[in-house]
Amino acid sequence: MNRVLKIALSVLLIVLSAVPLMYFLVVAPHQHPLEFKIKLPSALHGQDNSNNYVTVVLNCSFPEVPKEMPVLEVVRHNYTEAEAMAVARDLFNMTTPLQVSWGDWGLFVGNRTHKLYLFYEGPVHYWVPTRDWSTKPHLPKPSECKEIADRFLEEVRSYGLVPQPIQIEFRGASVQETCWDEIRGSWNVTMSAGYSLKYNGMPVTESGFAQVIMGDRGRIVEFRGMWRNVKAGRNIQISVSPEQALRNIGSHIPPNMIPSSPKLEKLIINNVELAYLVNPPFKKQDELIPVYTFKAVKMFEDGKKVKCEWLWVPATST
Amino acid sequence: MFIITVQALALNSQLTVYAAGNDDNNHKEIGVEWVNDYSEPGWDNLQWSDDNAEGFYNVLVNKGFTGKFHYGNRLAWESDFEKASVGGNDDYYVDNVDFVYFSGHGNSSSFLFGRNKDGEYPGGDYHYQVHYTEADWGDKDLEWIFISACEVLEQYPTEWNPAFHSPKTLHGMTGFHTSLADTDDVGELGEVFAKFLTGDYGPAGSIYESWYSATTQVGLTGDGEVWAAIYAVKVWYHPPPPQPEFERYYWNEYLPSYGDGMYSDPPSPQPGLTITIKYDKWKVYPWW
Repeated sequence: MNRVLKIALSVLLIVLSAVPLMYFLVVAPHQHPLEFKIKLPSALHGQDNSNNYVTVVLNCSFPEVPKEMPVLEVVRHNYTEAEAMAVARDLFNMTTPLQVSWGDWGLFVGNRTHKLYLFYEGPVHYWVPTRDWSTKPHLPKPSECKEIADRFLEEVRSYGLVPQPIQIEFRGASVQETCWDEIRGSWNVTMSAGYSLKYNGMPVTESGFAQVIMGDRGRIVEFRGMWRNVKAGRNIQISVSPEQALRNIGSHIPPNMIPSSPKLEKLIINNVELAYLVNPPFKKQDELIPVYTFKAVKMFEDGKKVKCEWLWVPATST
Repeated sequence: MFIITVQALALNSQLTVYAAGNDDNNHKEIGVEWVNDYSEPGWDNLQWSDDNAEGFYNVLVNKGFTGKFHYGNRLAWESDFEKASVGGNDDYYVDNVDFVYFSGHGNSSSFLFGRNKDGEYPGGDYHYQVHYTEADWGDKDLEWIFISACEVLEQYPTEWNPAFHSPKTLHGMTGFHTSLADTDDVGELGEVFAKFLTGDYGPAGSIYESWYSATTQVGLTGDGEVWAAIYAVKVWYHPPPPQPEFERYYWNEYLPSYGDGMYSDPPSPQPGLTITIKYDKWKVYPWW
């Protein structure tokens, strides 16, 4: 028994001593403990920022990226009036007299109190603007928001309004709108449930999302499906590496996001990934191209930390 | 009591009739000012203020509004927005048109300029900025001021209350409760706002609807949360029962010739009638 114990202990010691070695040989080379300085965005109109540098710290691994990947071609759908009316009436319960008007972006169905925007490129926006500013609504709790929103998204999907390759993931629920007056103070008007999007497992930039907004007793007052109808298109070369993109990140930060005081000391990068760039709905696009998105934390000299999760840098040279 | 009821009914029914004490006959005058170049005061420069404000200006002028001024950078002067008692000239510029749009830097008490054009009068020495104590809008022509700048509407409207001329003849202000990133999406805000106001995207929207729609649909981002805001006059008629109460929110106004048009200026306060400022803010980013 003693002998068996000795052997077992020896094996354990060997394994334990090998762990640090394995870490340095296998894991560490892929972690890129990278730290370097970048020049902050050059100010316009001759302002001298030549000494304005910030330290960038990579606090995550770079993603493995393919040499090339497909762009997603945007597929336009020209709604007929009958189709649009059916969506308005059946899905959004718009029963009052409706008018239809066309624009170069898509078509509008509704009236002054109920508005539905169906974009040719795929986005859907439904809105019942707040009319009652005097009554404090009974708003759902965040957990209830998710339930209500999940059910509604299923209905939207059943009407074929969610593009096929899209996966929708719940991100959170929170207050969307708050009002205040001198007599009654402030109260919340609506709650929102937000969802991120993925195309075939690949995320999209921040302008692509789905959102269900609820008012009194959970009534849905707004829906935003900020996606695009797409199909796989030509292959495009990923000609920019994640590290090149990171080293170039300074030129993609607007100057007003880097105040001169307190000084920005470090930009900690907590996530780098490839994503498809989706434009806001009124900004037309023919295809979704890959970009790198960065989730970062800005650390200022006064100790303040600010999340910065909207930066992106092109992954292609086109 | 009778007078109030008659007034209330009259105001309620005259939605498209628009007459203010010191307004001129042209109710569709607009002016815009913008600043990208803050090198003189040493603040970070912006890139998209010009597109933002000029987009608003161009859409409305193309639809028949009278463009009275569009000044940028060195030609954008804080004194154009400031009251005469602090050395300003708002009677000739901002308060001499109906709608004004500004884009540039801001903070929770002011919006900021790239050139020091302050009046030398007591109380007017907030350099490179229009501080809330320097504004007195609506005593002449101005109805709405739209401020696309960080944080100017950060506070509930206790600060900017004095900017609404007393009795209140400025109808409202739009702006942002927080900071936002100066991306190309900001450059589209003024144009998209004007298009919502004038019916390029379905029926014309009210000022509240259009600011809400534009700020939530152009793709604004920023560090932390981005919230847009509006505040405007609310008139609350509350005569003794059994006469009906009703409320009028000036942010439900439309631009002249669109929707229901504009309301007449708020009446003077009197028994049975309360005039306050109502504030509303909404989250623009992120969407969860």
